[in-house]
Amino acid sequence: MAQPDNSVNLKRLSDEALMELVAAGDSAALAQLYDRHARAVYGLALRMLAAAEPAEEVVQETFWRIWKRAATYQRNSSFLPWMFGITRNLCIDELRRRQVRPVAIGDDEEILSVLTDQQQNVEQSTLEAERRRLITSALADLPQDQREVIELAYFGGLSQREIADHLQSPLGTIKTRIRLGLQKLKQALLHYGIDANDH
Amino acid sequence: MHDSDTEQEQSLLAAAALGSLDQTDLAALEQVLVRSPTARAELDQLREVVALLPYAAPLITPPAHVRALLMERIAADQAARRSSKSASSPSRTSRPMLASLFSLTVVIVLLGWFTFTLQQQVTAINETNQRLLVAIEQLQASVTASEERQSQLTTQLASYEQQLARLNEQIAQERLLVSFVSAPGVATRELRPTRGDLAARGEMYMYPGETQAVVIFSGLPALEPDRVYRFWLSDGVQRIAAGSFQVDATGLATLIITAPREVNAFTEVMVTVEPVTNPTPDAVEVILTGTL
Repeated sequence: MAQPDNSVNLKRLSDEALMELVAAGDSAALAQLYDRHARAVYGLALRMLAAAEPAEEVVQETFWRIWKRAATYQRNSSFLPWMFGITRNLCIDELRRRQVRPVAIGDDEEILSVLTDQQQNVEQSTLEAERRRLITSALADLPQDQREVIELAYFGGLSQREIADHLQSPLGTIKTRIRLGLQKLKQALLHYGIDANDH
Repeated sequence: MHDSDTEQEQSLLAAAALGSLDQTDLAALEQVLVRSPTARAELDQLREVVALLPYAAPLITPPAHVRALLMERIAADQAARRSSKSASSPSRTSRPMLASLFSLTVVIVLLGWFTFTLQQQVTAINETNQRLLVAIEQLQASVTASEERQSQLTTQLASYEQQLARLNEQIAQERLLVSFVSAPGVATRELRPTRGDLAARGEMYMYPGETQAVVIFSGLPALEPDRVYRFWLSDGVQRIAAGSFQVDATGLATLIITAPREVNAFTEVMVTVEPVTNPTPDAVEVILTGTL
């Protein structure tokens, strides 16, 4: 009797359901998660590290840690924030190991434009792509000085004081920009009806 | 609360949500969160916003070798897990083998112990057997010696019995002689040598009408082993052998005779020297003679 295509069945499962399989040692489930989210992870790593080779290592290490730490994953929590948390921490470790400053706003756009996935257009038709577009739009709509500090904080892994040093601006100014920028981003996402757990 | 205080708290919460809070502000943030549930809720909302920031990064497909390397790494990890699992917990197929090996080891140990015990027992039995064989040989030697001694004693007893029989016969003969010699009414006749150089003589004690008589000889010389003295009764018509005898070292001898009829029916007696096996009275020498 012909066996059902396991990959087809895995594609129908949610990220959280796949994580249960991964926790049980199912490498096919992990491969499914990789195929589903490796582009986002690689994009985030490239965004933060602005270099292909270390970003590739972050991708591999992110899914390796998902594989190894699947047993510690909390089933009632969302998978993507957990996965992006792993990726971001790996990138910050790499940035601190390199002891380099994050690239300035716009410096990474060149490499990102070169590496941007050609499949992105395909994703445009999905809700995922729409949300991605709205978040990008909400971030882009922020005043440049507020968007800059938020990006330096999140994608650059810098503390407020480091941002102040990097931009040679008063610490209080940086704190204010971060506060205002994050509040506006929150309002914009609420306006778009986007929630972190709504994916 | 002043607006400046609120803005300061909001800044702490925003920096905390972005992960950009300086170490020096951690204590202040903790105080705010402990004091204000509203602040805790606000922090959660801001964290959800920050969690969406990765979506602002473009989607970019990593090179194929990244996936290949990852899956190789995972496959190696799975193999290591399986080997570790099989090493820590024996498989179902190996358990019977281990059990069999354990049972076989136990059987071998028991057999070894049993064999060792048997060998010890066999050794002890062999030693006992050796001691018993020595004891048996000693007993057999003792029995043989006893048998030899018994045989000697038997022979000696037989000899003694023969001697005793002879003695008893001699005693009986002596008693008869004494009774003949000492009985009242006994008649005595003398036998004299036929040659002058012979100092021998004989006395015959008899009862008239009786067939038995006793003759006591003395001075007779000892004869060669193939010769004997023979006593004859004669009635004038024929001569009848009435017994033969030897003399001891002193030349003495006693002869009890039983005649075919009463002794006093004969008229003459004589003693001859003859061969043991072939008595021929006509060809022999008469050395004693007497009349009745």
